[in-house]
Amino acid sequence: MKKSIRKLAALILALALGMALLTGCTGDGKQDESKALETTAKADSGEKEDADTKADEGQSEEQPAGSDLPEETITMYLLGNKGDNFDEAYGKINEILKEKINTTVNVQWIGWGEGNKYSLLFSSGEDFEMIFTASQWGNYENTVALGGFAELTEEMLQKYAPDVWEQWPAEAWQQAKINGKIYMIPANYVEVNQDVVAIRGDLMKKYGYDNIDSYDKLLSFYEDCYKDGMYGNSVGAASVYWLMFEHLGMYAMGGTPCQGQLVLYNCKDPKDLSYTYVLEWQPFIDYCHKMKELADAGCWPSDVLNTTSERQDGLVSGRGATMVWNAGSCQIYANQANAEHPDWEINLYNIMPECKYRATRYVNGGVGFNAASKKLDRALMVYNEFATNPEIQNLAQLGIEGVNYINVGDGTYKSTGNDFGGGSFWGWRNMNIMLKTYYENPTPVDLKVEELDKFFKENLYETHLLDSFTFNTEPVATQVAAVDAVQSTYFDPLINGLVEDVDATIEEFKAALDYAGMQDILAELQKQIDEYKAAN
Amino acid sequence: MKTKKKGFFYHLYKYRVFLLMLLPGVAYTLLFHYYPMTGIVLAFKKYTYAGGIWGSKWNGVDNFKFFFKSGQALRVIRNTVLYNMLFIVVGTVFQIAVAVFLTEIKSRRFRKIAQSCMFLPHFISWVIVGVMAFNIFSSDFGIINRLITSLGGKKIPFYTKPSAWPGILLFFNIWKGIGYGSVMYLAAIMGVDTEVYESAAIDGANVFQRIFFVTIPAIMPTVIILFLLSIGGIFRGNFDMFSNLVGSNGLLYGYTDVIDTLAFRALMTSNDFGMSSAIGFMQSVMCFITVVSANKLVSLYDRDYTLF
Repeated sequence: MKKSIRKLAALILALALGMALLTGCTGDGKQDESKALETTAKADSGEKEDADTKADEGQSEEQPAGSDLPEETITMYLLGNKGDNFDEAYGKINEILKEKINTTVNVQWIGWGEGNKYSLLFSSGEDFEMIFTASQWGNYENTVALGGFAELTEEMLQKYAPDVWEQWPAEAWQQAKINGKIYMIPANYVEVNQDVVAIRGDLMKKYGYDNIDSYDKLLSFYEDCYKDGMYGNSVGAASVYWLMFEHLGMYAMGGTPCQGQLVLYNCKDPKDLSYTYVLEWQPFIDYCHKMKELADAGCWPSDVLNTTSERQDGLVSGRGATMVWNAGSCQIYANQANAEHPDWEINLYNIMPECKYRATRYVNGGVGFNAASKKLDRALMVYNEFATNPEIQNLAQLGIEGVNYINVGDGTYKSTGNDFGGGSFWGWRNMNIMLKTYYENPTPVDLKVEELDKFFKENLYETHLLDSFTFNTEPVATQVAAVDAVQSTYFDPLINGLVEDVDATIEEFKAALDYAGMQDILAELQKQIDEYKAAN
Repeated sequence: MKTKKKGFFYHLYKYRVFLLMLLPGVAYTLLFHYYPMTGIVLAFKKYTYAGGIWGSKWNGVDNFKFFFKSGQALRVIRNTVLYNMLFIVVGTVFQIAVAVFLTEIKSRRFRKIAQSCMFLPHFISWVIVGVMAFNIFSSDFGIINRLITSLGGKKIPFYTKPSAWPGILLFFNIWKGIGYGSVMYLAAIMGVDTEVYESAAIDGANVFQRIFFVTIPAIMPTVIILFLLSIGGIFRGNFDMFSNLVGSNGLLYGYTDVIDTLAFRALMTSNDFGMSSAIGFMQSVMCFITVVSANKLVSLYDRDYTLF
């Protein structure tokens, strides 16, 4: 009796395990099915488009009325995490969308630490329509190279996102083009994202600085700090590197390997369409030598390459005297640190006041549309609403009026202290209708930020043809992968001054890059620049 | 007595329970080990999201080129193999030693506690180990450098000193694997007939003679089989370990870069599925060749010790 029970139990266990595996199987089956569906949908799309045109003809030229459209749900992926009263705010957005275009938006998230999820969404055949994207940092170029985004034609945009098409500047579309085709709708938003330096006022006084307004002064301040056992910049010189070439009027070339830091272009002269390869550029070599001096002096810890600290950590914790970041981020942490330690008197400094500045590109944030989606038309309509309907724009950015923010008129708002954590609304920001921050009791840092912002905007570079250029890595994919593999072996130690022999390392780096195919990449870059010049 | 050979179905029926118990294992292997192998085709394709695994275009051996073009192929292959050899040899020696000591210790209580303590690191993820290592070796707050400076010495910059890292990596690898690895050997030692020990004792063997002439020869087949199994992964760097301990510190790559970390760096920004498959495929082929030839070598020595 006992034996047979045991046998039975074993059998049941075996069966249960078998079942679990079989369900695994069906999961796979489903995916194939959905893929099959997609292909039929693609095959049918000709027919579908006809139907759409008919539906459109039935209505006036303007917004299609909600009641005439079939009900749809659009899935949208955003970066970040769901904020506190996110559901409430999006509930209101959905009410508006339901009424206008009979659509509900379902928001999904890619958390800040889940960068790999982005490509998996496309490769696994996940069913979604819209996803946040950005040039360089937001997977735009590589997703286009793998065919993940749908091409957006002018006709489509005119038809389904007419207000966006009308309001957005031509430059924005120009920047979104890769090989002459548009794959994202960039946000209608540019800012001057110039890096500034937040510096401890008490230390400046101590070492006799009234103002730190040049790159050289900043470096000598770092040296003074170290003599006191204080780190100038606790996360090393990677952020200072950007200031180095920007204060010389050079900017990173869009889409080139290593986030463009190896290949620069000259912003000062709009006629100058040449590129500069940093390893053959004297200021880079001088910079590396200078950084070695500073690193040897101890201006940052010798283990900076392994640190998990953020840029602000040193300044906020009191181990570092400065932080380098854009004005907005510096403002947040400078205010935070000042509130905790009023005697620190941190303020922001622009170390390149004699320079001009460059506005961010429109493609610094935008929305891409899944090439496998069957509801592209509706997704474009949704984008049109998010980007041009002030009510939705405010709900998505600031949350609920009265709860999260108060509209103080004049196109400004003030925070209620209960900020809306709405995730990334950067994909559809529209400068024309966004509300601006109103400071009730501005700190010296807030005032400085406003002053800097104004100053930056008054001193912009003339538009340079290469501002909108994005290098297409596809023809040299092998070389780019090889260069990426080589780069961090030398580049990060070099710009942080951690190598033994600067000149020898630069030579070695150059040889390693050439072996990996850097010259092919540069030749391809030249070719693409020439083509770009001819086309514009 | 009947000597007639029984048919296939007779055996199928007779062993039905055993076969049923085998079924999940077989299904699992087919599903998760054989079916995914078809994905190898990606190594020879230019992957696009639209084409997927089957619809993307073939591109020959283009996907393999970046690895050799990086100019670091030999270095990372050398590092991968040397580290794995070191981990296997030193790891095995330590694990056997621990197993032998544990069986020789008479106090049951002490044995249990010691074993649990050694087993514990197995459950700590490499991410945590990486943070622990940083807190031990970092220049400002690291335990070691704090100790040195408080004694008036000069700091050791571990994170700019590549030659220190083979030792550090070896230490953490042994530390993390010792408890788990010794379980196999413990089981093998438990399986040795106690009569052999008794007769050895009667013949006047001391503890060391007992260990070297009875225990070790008795567990040799287990040692060789486990050795062969670990040889099968000799071209695979432990990505979790290397990336969490070394991070993106280029200064240390000369001593710490392995195939997996190189491929990760190269493809992290481009998300190229074809190239990553190519690397995985190459590693598999090299591991396959190694394990087959190692098995062949062992069979020359003694057929009973081989895997297949």
